[in-house]
Amino acid sequence: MNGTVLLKRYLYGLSIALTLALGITALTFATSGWQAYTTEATRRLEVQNNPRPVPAVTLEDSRGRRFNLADLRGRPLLVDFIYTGCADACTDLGENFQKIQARLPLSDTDKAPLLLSISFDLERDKPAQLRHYGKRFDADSQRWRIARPVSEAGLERLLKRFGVVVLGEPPQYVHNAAIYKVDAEGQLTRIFDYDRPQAAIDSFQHSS
Amino acid sequence: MTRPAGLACSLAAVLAVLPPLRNLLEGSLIAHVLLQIPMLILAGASAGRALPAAWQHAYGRADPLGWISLLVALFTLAFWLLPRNLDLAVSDPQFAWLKYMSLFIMAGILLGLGGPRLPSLACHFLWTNAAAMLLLMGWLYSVAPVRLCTNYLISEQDQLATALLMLGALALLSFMFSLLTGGLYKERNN
Repeated sequence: MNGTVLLKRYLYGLSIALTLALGITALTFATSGWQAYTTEATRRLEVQNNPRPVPAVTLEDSRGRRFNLADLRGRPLLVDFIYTGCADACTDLGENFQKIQARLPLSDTDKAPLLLSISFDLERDKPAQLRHYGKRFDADSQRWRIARPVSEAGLERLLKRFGVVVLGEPPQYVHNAAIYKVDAEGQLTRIFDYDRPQAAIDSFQHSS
Repeated sequence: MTRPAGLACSLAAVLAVLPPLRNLLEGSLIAHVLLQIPMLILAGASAGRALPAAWQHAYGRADPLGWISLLVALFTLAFWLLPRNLDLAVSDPQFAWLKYMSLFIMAGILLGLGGPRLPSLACHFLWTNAAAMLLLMGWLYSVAPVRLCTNYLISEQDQLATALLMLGALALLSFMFSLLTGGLYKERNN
């Protein structure tokens, strides 16, 4: 075996090792450092690392009052996305918001967290349906508002900013249900599992 | 693989990424993972095999045993099997094109060029490894309590899990069959 052949083998081995290293580096980036393999994990990580402002979208609540989401600044929010025609996951969402409403501190109502349920079924969910949803879960209107965007465009912006993907046809939707925490500055800072309301509650105890 | 066959395979890949067929394939998780992605790789591999002999020879000088082609192909495939990238390929058109091109070129053409150079040991290793990966992925998908892809329903995830488990079992059985019929033994004697 002469020197040229040896050198060629050496270089080949080196290029294999380099390919391996490059591949592992690429996958490390693609998984945010082996932390996020799914879209859900990715958006939670992104929100936590880089909080993003909620969009200025006009909403209409269960009493027909209009307000801008960005104007709710000053009070932290817990937001969820619902459609009142839902039987499964949204029932859980409703019951979990009910639990949060019961357990969250009521000390100073001006600064206390506000619960906000936003419907994405603009066609079916009018203020009357939202009111009915509120009654179903004993929503206290001072602490839990149920609303809908007034326009399709507003809804699109809202879903995009929060990273909500709605699949399926009405009246049977499937969506990546979650509980969203927006701080008093209007920044979306955390996303919690929809079936773990205690984590959302605890997050206020720790931060205050 | 003859040149016309290579061309036909490439044509199939082009059809798989253009609107009518593309929407059909990407509309279902199982078709996306088990039809479109393999189609793109196979088409690329056939195209690679159909390249002029001078190119094959030139490639062989850089990657005489095909290891680089295998690694690049595996990493490319792993990248696109990450649920978050599968999701992005559905919701972001630019990302979708990145998927088509990278699977066709980096997994397909490269394997077409380097694959035939792989030592038989690598092929046996790949075969058993593929079976293990399919079974593992199938098991992971079947026990996942939540949806792994935001763009697909949980029912589709369950279908994919079943299909992966079946394919894994098939790969394992055919490997064992080749052992029984002396596939390995024959090669050693050659």
